[in-house]
Amino acid sequence: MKVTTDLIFKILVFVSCVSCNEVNTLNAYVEKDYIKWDSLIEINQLEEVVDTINCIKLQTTENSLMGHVVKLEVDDKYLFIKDSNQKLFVFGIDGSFIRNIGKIGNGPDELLGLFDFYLDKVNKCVNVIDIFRASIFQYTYNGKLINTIKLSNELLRGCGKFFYISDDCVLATKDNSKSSVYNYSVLNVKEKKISHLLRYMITGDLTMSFNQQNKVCHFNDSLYLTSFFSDTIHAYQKDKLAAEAKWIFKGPNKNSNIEYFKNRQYELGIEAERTARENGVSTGITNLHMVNNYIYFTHSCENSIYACFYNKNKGNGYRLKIENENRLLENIITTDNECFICCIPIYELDNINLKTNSKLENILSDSQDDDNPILVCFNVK
Amino acid sequence: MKITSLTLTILFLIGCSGHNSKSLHATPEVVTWKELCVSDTIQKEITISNRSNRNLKIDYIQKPCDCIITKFQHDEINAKDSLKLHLTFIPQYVGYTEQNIFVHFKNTKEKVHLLIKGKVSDDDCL
Repeated sequence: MKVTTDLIFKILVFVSCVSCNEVNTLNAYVEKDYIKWDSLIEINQLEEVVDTINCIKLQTTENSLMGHVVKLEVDDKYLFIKDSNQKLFVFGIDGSFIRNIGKIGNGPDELLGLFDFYLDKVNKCVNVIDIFRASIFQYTYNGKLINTIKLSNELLRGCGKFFYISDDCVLATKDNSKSSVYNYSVLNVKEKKISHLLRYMITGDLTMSFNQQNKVCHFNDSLYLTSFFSDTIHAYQKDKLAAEAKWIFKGPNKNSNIEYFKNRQYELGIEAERTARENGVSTGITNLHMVNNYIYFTHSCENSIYACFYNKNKGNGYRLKIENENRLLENIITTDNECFICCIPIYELDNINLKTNSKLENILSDSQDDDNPILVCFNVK
Repeated sequence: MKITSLTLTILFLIGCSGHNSKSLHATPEVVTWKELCVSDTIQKEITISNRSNRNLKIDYIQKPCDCIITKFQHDEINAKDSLKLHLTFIPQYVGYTEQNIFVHFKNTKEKVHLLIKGKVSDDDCL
C-alpha cells in the first residue's frame, strides 16, 4: 500500500514538474517586452544623459583617404570601414590606418565591385560581397584572400546589406519594390539555399530608402531586426531559422499591421507613409542599435523624429527630438556593445554640439576639412 | 649547340614578356580633376581601342552608382578600330571620391576598367 502511494505521489510530482516546465518554457517563448512611449522621459539635449564621450580620429594617408562612411564593424582592436567609394579599410582602435582589404580590378582574385562586407568574428575573417561576380571573397583580418564562394545572381537578387549569422548563413536585407515580398533573406552560402523572413507590409516603388536605414543590429552573438513600417524588434533564432518578436514599441500612434495595408495599393511607398500619418498609424521604428543596457531606435511622429533610448533592464529610458542640438544622433553608425559609435565628417563638426569636449577641440585644431572623419563614442547613463 | 638553345630560350622569353595580350585599351584610364564642387559635374570623352582582329560588342557598363552617366556612339568596336565613350560624373558627397567603371563585352571576357578619382569640395569653392 505504502509502495503504491509512494509511486502515485512520485508520478504526481513528476507530472506536475513536467507541466511546470512546459508552462515556463511556453512563457519564455512568447514573452515580449513592451516599450511604452510614457516610460521614455522626454529630454531636450543628449548631453543630459551622456555619461562619457571618447573621440577617435581616423588617420588620413594616401591609402586611407575615404569618402562617405557606409558601414563600420568592430572586432578586437580593429575597425573595419566600408566607404561610398567601395573601399574597405582596417584601422586600429586608436584610429591608426592599418591596411586596405580587397582590390578592384580585372584579375581573377580582384573584385569587380565591393558591394558590402560582414565580419565572421569566430573565424576572424572578412567576407566581401562582389555582386558583379556573384561571389563572396573571404579574407583574413590581415587582408589575405583565403577563399572565394561562388553564388548565383538569382541568390543575390534584390539583396542590400549583409549580416553574419553563422559559418554557413548570412542575413541579407531585401529591396522594397512592387515585386518584393520579404524584408529579409537568409542565404546558406555553403548549400546555396535561400529562405525568407518577415513579409513586407507595404511594397511600392521609391520607398523610403529601406536599405539606407539600419534595421538590423548585432548584440553579443545575437542578431536583432525590425521590418519596414513595423514597431516590433525581432530576435533571430539560429536554430529555428526564424525571427521571433522580442520587443514591441507602443508609441503615440497605433501600431501598423498587415491588415491595415492589406487592400490598399500604393504606386509609391512614400504614399503609404502619408496615409499612415494622416490616420494616426505608426510608420515604424528604424536605426536600430543595441548596447549592454540600452536599445536605441528612431521613430517619426508628431512631425518630428525622436531618438529613443530604452533601458532593457529597467524598462524605462529617454526620448529626445533629433534637432540642431542633437545632430550627433543622426550619425550613429554602430556600437561595440559598450558604447554607441558615431561617424562625423570634419566639415560637419561645426554643426554638432560637442565643442566643450577638450579631446575633440584638440583633434579639430589639428585637422583639415577633407581629412578622414572622426568617430565619437558615447555611453548613456 | 647548347649556347644556341639557351639563346633561343632567352629570345623566346623576351618575346613573351614583350607581348601584351590586352586587346582593349582606354585613354584616359583614370579621370581626375584639380577642383570640383559638389554642385558641379565632370564630363570626359574616353577612347576605347580594339587592337584585336575581331569586332567586339559591348554588353553592359557596370557603374557603382547613379552618379555616373555613360553614353557611347555605337555598341560595337570594329577590329583595329576605336569608339568614344562619353562619361559624366555628378558628385554626391563632399570629400574624396573614387569610382570604378567596367565595360563588359559580349564576345570577350576582357573588360575595360576606368577609374574616376579626386576630391569634391562643398559649394564654397564656387
